[in-house]
Amino acid sequence: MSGGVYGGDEVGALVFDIGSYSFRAGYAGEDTPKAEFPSTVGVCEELDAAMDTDENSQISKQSQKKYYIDTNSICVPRKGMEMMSFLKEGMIEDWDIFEKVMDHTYNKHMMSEPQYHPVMMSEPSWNTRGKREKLTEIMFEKYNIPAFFLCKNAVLAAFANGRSTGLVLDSGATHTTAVPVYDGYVLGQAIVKSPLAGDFITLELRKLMEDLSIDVVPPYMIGSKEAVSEGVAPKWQKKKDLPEVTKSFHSYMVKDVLQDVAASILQVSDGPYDTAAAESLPMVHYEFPSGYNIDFSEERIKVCEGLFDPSYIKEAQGNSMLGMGHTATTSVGMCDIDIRPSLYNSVICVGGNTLIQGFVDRLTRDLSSKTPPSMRLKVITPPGMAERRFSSWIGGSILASLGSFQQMWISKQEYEEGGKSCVERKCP
Amino acid sequence: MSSASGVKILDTVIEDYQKLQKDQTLKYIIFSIKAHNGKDYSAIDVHCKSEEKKRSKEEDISEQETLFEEFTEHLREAEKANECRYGLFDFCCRDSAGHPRQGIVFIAWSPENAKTKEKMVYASSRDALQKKFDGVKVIIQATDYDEIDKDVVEKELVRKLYS
Repeated sequence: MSGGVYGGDEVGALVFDIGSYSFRAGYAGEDTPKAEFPSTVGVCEELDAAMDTDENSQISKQSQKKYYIDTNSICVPRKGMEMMSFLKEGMIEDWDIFEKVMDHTYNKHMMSEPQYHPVMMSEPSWNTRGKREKLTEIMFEKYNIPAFFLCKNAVLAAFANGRSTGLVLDSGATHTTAVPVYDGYVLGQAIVKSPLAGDFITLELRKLMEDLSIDVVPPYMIGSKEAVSEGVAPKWQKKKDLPEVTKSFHSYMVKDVLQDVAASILQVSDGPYDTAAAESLPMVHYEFPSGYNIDFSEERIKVCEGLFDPSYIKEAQGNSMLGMGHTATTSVGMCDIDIRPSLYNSVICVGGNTLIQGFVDRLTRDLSSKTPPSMRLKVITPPGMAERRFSSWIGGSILASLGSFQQMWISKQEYEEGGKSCVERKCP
Repeated sequence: MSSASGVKILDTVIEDYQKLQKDQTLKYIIFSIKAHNGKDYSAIDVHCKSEEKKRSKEEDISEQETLFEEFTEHLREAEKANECRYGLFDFCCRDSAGHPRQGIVFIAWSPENAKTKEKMVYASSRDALQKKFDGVKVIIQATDYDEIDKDVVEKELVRKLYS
């Protein structure tokens, strides 16, 4: 039996939810995370003045790296700053950056000492044992936290939507995944991933801009601009004294603009792409940071079509990428036939990419044509935008704030007695 | 084995389940998660139940309609309060030869409009409760009235009993 009194209302537990787009942090029991900042950080290699390139000096000027974290500091153009993420396929890959991000979270957002707060953290459903143990070790050894718990993000999302059994379709930035949850546990062998997600959409938009010869100028380059009429070449002045930025920084900033374009103009077509329907779509006006402004019409749905029908993606002829509906049905098909009806009955749609207008309707349509007639399809979406983007965080927040959850934590004492492997036993 | 939420199951739950399953004096039971030992949402308790009496096979069938109506009425009330519930109903149906057959149906009632906290606590505690009910034939995760319609439930039970 684990000892101690943690969680509940006595001590505020902290909840961390790491997504490929952003890191969410806040206090258990609250409705939304207190902080959200990009999972991408800026890294500057600060080399010594002597710029020798021979072997010996390489070692002597061992990485004096400086990290820039959070929206405000990563958006500042700096010479040589590379943008990188500490995640790979949703799992923590670069532990140094991860620790810097944690330090930042405690110091700047939580403004509290780690040793006072139990930590509830979400993890991808395919996280490996080695990474789970390493994370447990870092949290107890480096941050000296009093208690820890790791929970699969799909399970948290399912619970927060009132389901202990269901198929969680999570479309985020880097990937879309279908994760079957049965009686509160992930069926790991039936997880299906597709690279078609938010980043794919921004990539498609980038191609569209090239086709339309629109130069996407991110705000950091713009010193001043003038209002211009629609479709007229923009009049803007480049900011003076811009440092020599890296390619990764520039494309991150361009991506940021394109993400806004995506949120503002895109829409998923109700059914398979149809030129006539696309042309009758209402126009949406968009003004770029440079002042260039234009109406978008059929492009609005063209760009997203590949999400649902990968054969539509020009460059990827004969590709094996799965569209949204297919990702879900493939996963269900890998599960035992007895539980398939209950999965189709609870398809839980979460993640920032599902916020594109029409996403859920199209998914429902595609799925209903593939669901066996004997089964009843139900697609569930959390009501608000925050709930959809932060489902896992919200689930973790509620769970960690329950009085009854006290006995579930891995306490510091348990960790000290049983070692890092206790995470496998306590957090299935 | 406790639930993912650590929520406890009170003894009254097991006692009443015995009455429903073994003694067959209860037709339905509805459970809710209540405060316990001064902590909110920490134990599953019996919320309400059918009248306790011994029913003959024929009475069982003739009263079922009314009792099922009563049962779903309690679930509707929970919905009005933006709350979730668990329910057990000892359902009786007839096979193709007209012989009555019993089957216990477990319903996890999580209406769309329930508070997120309710949904979260009920969903994360369900597994542990379900494991206490060894004789359950059908498990229904329901969010709207269509799913707890008498005919739908009956159809599901028949499918399970005769497949």
